[in-house]
Amino acid sequence: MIAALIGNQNSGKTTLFNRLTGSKQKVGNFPGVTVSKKEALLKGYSEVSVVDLPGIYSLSPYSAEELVTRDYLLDSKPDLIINIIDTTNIERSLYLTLQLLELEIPMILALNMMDEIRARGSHVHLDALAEDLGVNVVPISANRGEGIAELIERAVKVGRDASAPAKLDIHKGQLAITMNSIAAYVGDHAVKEGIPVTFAATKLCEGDSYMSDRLKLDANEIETIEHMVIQLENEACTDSLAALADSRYHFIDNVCSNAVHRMSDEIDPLTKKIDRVLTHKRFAIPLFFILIFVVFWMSFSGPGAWLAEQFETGIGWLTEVVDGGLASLNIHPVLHSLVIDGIFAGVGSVLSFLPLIIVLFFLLSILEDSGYMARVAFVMDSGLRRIGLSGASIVPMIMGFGCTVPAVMSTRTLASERDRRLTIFLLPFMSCTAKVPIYGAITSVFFPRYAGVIMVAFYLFGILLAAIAGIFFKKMRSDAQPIPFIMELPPYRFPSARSVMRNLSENVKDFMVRAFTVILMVTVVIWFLQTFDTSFRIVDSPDKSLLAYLGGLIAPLFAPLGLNDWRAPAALISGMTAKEAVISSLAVMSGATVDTLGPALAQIFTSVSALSLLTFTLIYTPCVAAIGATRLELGRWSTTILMMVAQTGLAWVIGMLVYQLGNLILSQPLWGYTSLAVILAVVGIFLVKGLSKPSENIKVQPVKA
Amino acid sequence: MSIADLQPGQSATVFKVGGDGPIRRRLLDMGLTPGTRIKMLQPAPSGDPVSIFIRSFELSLRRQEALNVEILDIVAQEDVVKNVSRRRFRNRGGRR
Repeated sequence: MIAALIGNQNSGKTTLFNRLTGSKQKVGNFPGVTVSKKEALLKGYSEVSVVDLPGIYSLSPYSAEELVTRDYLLDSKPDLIINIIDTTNIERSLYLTLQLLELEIPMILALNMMDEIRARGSHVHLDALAEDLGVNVVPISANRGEGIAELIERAVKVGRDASAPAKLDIHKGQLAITMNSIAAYVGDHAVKEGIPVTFAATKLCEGDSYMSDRLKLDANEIETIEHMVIQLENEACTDSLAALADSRYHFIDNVCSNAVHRMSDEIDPLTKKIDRVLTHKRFAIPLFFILIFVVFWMSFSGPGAWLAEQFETGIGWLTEVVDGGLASLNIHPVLHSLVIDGIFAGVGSVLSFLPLIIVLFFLLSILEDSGYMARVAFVMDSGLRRIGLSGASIVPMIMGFGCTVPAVMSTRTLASERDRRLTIFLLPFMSCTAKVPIYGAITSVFFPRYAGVIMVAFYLFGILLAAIAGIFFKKMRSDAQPIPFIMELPPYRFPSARSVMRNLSENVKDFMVRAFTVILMVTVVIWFLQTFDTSFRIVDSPDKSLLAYLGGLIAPLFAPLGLNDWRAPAALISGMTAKEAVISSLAVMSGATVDTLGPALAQIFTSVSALSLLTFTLIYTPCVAAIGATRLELGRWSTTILMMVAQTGLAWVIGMLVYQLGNLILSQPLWGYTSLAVILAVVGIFLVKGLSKPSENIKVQPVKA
Repeated sequence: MSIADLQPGQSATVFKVGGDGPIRRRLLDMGLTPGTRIKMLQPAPSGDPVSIFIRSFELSLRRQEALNVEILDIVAQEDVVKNVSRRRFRNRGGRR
């Protein structure tokens, strides 16, 4: 039996999914699209699997996610729908429920957040609700784990009974007549195509051409239905879309007036208080930047850095112990070298940044779960519109600081295709955690006193580049359609420790898996390439190795960036597998351990070429995993490759500027600083001009009275 | 008058939802149907988008989109208003 879990965004769906299922989750994609699909077995019932569908508000096609849900329900026909309801928000939640009921799939309602309802002194008459809607209703609190056992038990029973919910008389008057006529008219087609008749009638009444295609209606039939709809619209003095929405909400209002007793119909007082500060006219934007700064500080120089130091010492100690052990066992020197110079140096150099990443993901998931991200979208919308994006893009952007892959996937919540593409293109400029080991190692060697400052500067530099690129694209395509920004601002909720830990452990697991698969593999390959020469003999110095030969071939390309040591381009290429590999490869190639990485790197780079290396790393094409996700989201290789080439080209140009300018400043400070000032002025003027331009020239069409 | 004309704290009744395409559909789906009481909460720092209180949740929308929602019965700084005036406007709203 397959049970589909469906509900609005912010309804606690993911929390409930985790409660309903065990730890074994299968993450895949819905066929043909990249919307990720989580599937797991229902606790205690190995024959029932639960599918987590994207959070949606309606079955009308608005974003990619709503399309996916509709297609999944129509084509895969789950045996049961578990519809999760945000009870504090019951009217809007039931709007989706009424549409789901038309699908004739057995259904159970899970009324979530009942603890909040109780705390507010409100009350829901469960029996009245169940009777009015003709479905089973179970009160739960996903956060506290209340009512989960009962929900599971009753859901399985509903699924086994396999009886579709009774058809509700939602619509009245002319609308009901029209709906019945359409249903009778297309009934045969719907049955033949296996589509629920009521659902088909509703979509046809809304004028959804997808449904007429799906039912293979001919021009005559479409025209007949159009006539029915026009008759309705004349009678009702409104169009069919509004009539249907109005009729549904009217039905819901009636149900709720019977079943729901609210003590107050006001905004949550705590949310009101917090918003007075966090969305304050003057403080909101500074507060956002301060918060983000605190997150980075905590991760990169405060507690995160301290933890990383301890961890690094631990790895260093372990390396010595294993080194000593291998020596005393008289292992073959090549094998010894593979373990110590290859695996320990490479994987260790990446793994030592695990604490930083734990702290960063921990803080990001707290921000995400608290409801603050929606406010950031609200506060930053007008600013983002100036670079051609919308507030909704801020969530993927901030996630991009964690990992580009989930961030690219999260762009599917964006309603506009153009918005999605631009966001995906700009995402790699948000330095992901895989770049942390590179920034961290290089800055601590070359700029020990300013390591934290320079790391933050590179983050800001990435954001600046994204802004410039955004303005550039906005100017190139001024015909862009306005992107709607109609979104819910959920009340602030205290993030549950459980879901934060879950999110954290998933991300840490990903990082560890990467360290021990991709990074391990790259490390071994790099070690191999630099231990043997072109005729596969063991070399006495890495300079004569296969890798040195290969790196030497492309090194001239990187000479203008000051990266002409063969190890730099080789490291950058290995970084395409996963960004951490840049530093792990450098560690292997310089024959350093975690402890001796500093002096080893100082032999390869000057402080200026270290900066150009960081610049190139910041900008050039993301890792293969991110490229894969990008390709899936964009649906085309051509655009994806174009993006990769554009990013790498840009990385080369800016890296070269940084190196040349840096050297000029060192050798001829006057000229150097003058050119720097000129460049900054040009960028500044471009930014000011681009940002101050009125962000929209959309014609407003006032409603005709 | 449209939602965009409301001052923070003022509330009103939705009379008609204009516009077209996905924006209009979204507005209707989110519950901005004729007869619904809404309350203006606050604008974002730059004055746009704005946030309104509707059907016991907070919804943010841009002034551009808010212009599509015509309103009536503007009341300043009220506390709780039930959907009493709903029936009066049910059959009057719409595009045509």
